[in-house]
Amino acid sequence: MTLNKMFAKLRKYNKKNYYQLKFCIAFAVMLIASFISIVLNPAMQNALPAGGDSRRMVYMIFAVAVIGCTIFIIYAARLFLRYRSREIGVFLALGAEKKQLSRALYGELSQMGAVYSLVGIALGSVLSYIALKIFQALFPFSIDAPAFLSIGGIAASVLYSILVIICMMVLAVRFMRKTNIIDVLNEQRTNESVKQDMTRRYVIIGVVCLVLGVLIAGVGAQVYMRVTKQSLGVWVNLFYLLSLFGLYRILIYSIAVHKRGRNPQKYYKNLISYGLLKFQGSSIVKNMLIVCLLIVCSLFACMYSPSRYMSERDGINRNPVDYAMSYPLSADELEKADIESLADQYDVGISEYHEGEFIRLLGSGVNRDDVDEEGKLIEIYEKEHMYYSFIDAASFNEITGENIKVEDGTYYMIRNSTMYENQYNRYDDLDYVQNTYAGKEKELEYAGTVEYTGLTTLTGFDGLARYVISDADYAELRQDLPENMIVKNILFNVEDLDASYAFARELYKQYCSHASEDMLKLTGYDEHQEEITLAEDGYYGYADPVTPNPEHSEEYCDWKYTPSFKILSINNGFISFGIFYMLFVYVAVICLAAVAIISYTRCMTVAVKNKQVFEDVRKLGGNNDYIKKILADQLRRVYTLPTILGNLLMLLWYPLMLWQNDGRFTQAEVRIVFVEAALCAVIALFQYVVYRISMRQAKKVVIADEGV
Amino acid sequence: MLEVKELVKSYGTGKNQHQVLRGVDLTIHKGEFAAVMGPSGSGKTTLLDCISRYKPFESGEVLLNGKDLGKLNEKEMAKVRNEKIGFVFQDFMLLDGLTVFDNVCVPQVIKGENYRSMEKRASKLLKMFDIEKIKKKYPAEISGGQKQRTAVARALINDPLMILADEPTGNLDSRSSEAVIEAFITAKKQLQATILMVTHDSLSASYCDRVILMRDGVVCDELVRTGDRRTFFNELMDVLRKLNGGE
Repeated sequence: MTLNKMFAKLRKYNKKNYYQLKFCIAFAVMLIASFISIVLNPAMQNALPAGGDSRRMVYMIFAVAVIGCTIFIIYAARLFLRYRSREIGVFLALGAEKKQLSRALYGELSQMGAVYSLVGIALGSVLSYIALKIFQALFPFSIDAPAFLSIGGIAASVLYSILVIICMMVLAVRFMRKTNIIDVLNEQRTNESVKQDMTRRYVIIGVVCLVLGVLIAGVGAQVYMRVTKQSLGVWVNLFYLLSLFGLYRILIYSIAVHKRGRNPQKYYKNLISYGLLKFQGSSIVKNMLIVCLLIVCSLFACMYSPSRYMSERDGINRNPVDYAMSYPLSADELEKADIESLADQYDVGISEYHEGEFIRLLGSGVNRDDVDEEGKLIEIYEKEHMYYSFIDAASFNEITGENIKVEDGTYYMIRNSTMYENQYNRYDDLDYVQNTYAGKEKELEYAGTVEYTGLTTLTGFDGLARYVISDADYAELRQDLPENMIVKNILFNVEDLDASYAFARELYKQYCSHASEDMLKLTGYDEHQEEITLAEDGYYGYADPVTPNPEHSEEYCDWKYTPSFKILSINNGFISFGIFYMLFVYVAVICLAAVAIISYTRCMTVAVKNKQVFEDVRKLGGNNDYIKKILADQLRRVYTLPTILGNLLMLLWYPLMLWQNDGRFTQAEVRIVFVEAALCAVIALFQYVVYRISMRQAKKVVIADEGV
Repeated sequence: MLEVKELVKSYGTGKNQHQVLRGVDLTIHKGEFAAVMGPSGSGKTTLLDCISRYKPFESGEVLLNGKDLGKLNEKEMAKVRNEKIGFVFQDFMLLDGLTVFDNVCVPQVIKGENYRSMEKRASKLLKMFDIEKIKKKYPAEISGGQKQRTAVARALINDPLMILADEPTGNLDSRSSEAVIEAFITAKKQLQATILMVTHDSLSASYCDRVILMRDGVVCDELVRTGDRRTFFNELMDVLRKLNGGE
């Protein structure tokens, strides 16, 4: 027999330990590879709008999932090295050379890493293809047929696999560097006890840090920005580390401190459990912390998309106008007769039809594009800032049914239900307008806002801002304006909105087909900015033509004249939400899978490491029920506190986030909090199921003769 | 055979250092079966770990057949552990995935010996320690005494200059302990093995030629067996009573 044959024999005997590591490598790489392959698949790349908060958020949460998966591989590798420590220790004690053993171990780990990463990548690619096929089936208009393999996805997955192998090798090198053979021999039995002498002050500081971190990073920074108009920068997120520190203290206290207190009976009843927990406390606490964070991330991933969707849906529902479109008079666009004729074709009854005109005038404003060296927002007043849209009070009242009176020389800003002022956008920036064609100027004074969502577009600020001025001012400023600077607005409702979807699609198609060249501009296009740029011989990118797809209103094209058809917004919003939500849910699933694997592995470690203690308890008279109780006490710790803390943290933090967006709670946001509570319950149920499975397996380890 | 001179070993760091061996001197002669006894914390196990250099020591010398083990590099020390020292652990340290026979062979495998001589030698040792019948069994399937006899056979397979045994009977009942001590005596008689055993067990120690007594990290006394085992046992008990403050 040779040493290599002996190693092979031992490998065969310890195959369970090898399976565990192999499974963890393949599983983690599969999860990561499948997500990367989904996102980098050309079909998904085409479906996702470029940039945007949602995409950034998906990547951020995915980064946490990557960290979670990497941690659970590291954890599995450490466990594997622990299992191997006894063998390696015995070989060292019997005179084997460390170099020889190191070579064997490194070879074994790198081979396992490479082979099972490849397995993970292959499974991940198949999984991503299946997932994309499901996405495509659900959203046939938005997602093209996916490629079977995403080269970018595979390349990124290979990089991740290399990272995984490097992590395992670093652990192995560190392990083999231990010079003390007795330490190597006893590695498997080393306890990881936590500091014993903790006072109540320890946990109080933890709670304070946890709350302070969330308040400063989550809310304080926004409040500071509103008050001082100065951004604190990205570094303020470092305060979340304070929360992490606090969370760690709470968890470690829960494991380490058990006092006789007012209920000595309970204390003595759980004495053995407390003792066992303390001696593995350090690694249990690290586990709990990671599990807690992954739960927070999975909840966030589940919540982010629906909350955005519900807010948007809420905004759409608040719009009293079912159909709104606008175009310059110069365009050969749809008229009332065309719309009515089309409605007849589709058997759609039109009600409350209104038309009105907005004139486009150059106005003053405040440039808030830059911050100074200290991060303070620079505000520069510009008399000739950009073009805005203005309507006369009579037309406004006729369309909206309001009865506002506008004094000459004043204006009201039209706002929608989701608009709010912040450090970048103010209602009262305008104080001067001019009709450059007639050479007429006018000072205007801010009189307030009027809410009518049907007359606003998108954000409603900057070049999209719309104002109501007096009839006299309007008449004076309209003089000599060319047709392309007068925008006609058509607004109407239909008798049955849900039944008008086909009509809406056809109307959109015809509206796009009639759009003039003047209309095919990006949302950010402004005539004045174009003039300035061209005068400086610069390139004005916003003037580049957009090409809306008449067949697919759901295709995002950032078009200044995008019509607002409520039924299309609802359906398209759902599609866009659906695609993102699937991605978010996928990341949440990755996080939860990591939670399950980490928790399960920890439970099995608890069972294996304490097997001797359970045997001793049996020798002291403990029956199977008693041993099961101790085991259950241990395993419950792994699940209960991280689940409670993770859920609680999100239940506190997420509403705060929703509130700090605009300093208020909308009805939709209240509903979101209820949805969040329901999701917390689902996660608790999931954790309970994994706990039951872990308990069943752990019992097999500890109570071998159960049922006999 | 083995000379230990002024051996010093501490645990802890900085101000929290605690000296466990405070200048230990002892000599073990060829073919001798010696025991080290003493109260808990006297440094017995640490002494054995330092002799085998499982643990590093601060100062002093460990000479095995005149060779200073403290000056050997890692590769040389591995060779010494494999060929010159056989170690027997309190908790056996057998490899669970190997049979009794395979476990006994491990040091020869590490040495790279020819399998014929290895198997021949292993079989001889198995027979000598009466564990031949269980040679195909795995450690989980045999008793504590059988495990320890397997460990003794493993320690002897490379014909070492010396066997170091740390509480070899510590985890065994009296019958199994006796069998293990018998194994040592057999090794001494038939293979002329030199054995240094750390033990708490006075009965086991009474089978030795000499008992070295330690207290507070130094050798404080020694007792040489001159008569029969029973008389030596009584003498040993007297000395231990005194050592533990009995008189």
